[in-house]
Amino acid sequence: MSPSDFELITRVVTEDDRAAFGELVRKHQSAVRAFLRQLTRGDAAWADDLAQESFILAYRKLRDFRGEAAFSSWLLGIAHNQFRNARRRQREIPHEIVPETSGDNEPSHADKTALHQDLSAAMARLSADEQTALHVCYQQGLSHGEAAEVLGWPIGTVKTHLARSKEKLRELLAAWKPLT
Amino acid sequence: MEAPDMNTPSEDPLEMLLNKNREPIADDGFSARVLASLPRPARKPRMLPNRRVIACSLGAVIGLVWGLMQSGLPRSSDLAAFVATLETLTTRLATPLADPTVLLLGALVISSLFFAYAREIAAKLS
Repeated sequence: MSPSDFELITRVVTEDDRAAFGELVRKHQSAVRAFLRQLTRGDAAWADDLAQESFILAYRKLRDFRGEAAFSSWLLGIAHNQFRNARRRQREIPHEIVPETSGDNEPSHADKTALHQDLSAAMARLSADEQTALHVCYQQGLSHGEAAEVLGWPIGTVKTHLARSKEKLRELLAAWKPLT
Repeated sequence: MEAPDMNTPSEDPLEMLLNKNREPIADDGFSARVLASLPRPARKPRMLPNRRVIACSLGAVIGLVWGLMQSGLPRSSDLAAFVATLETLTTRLATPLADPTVLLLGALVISSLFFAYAREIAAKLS
């Protein structure tokens, strides 16, 4: 059985156990990198640089982790701050070219892969904040309260972005029979 | 309409689709890169506690000898007077020790020191 986050954190803090920190990185790298890829709009290289900086900062600040929130939420909060600081430095986000969907939203494939591709294309048409809210709540599985804490938004803003984004997705994917 | 909390299971097909759309990112050496970039561990002080004690004691002895040399060592003719002074001094120092309050304070100081260095003492004894 793999040790819990709490056990690993204790080992890092009390013994400076780097192997334990490596285990924490392995457990959470996917979530943090996926979150940052979402924020950077698919710029994997930039997202990975930010993820690396986030984990190093987390290592330095691990003694400050009080365990009030889940470790994963705490990490995502750090990653979000890293992204905001980087964006402030760069002053603009490199935008990915939004893929054009067929004008009438007609589905070209009936299989699930096509549905996922269309979902990705539809999500790319949402605003950055709407995409972030969807990602944090669905892909990361955080509650509204946790998402609000990670993103530094009021909980009402999280709910509004979610409701709007889902409404837009429903419209964009309306041609799909299972969703209507 | 208020969006339901994500912790509660939903029958909404869109939400089910969004929940399914999770593919983990392969590590591909990312963790190793992070570990390699971590700050170096702080170096422990080279001087061991034993050496520190020896250095302090040596300094104290040198200081005492130096002080005695500066003030003038007692000569043989002064030895009787020196012993008498020492006796008086010892008596004066010992008198307050008869006071129970002083004894209590002394015991408190010793127990505090013992509590503070209990781990070191235990390590020395083991």
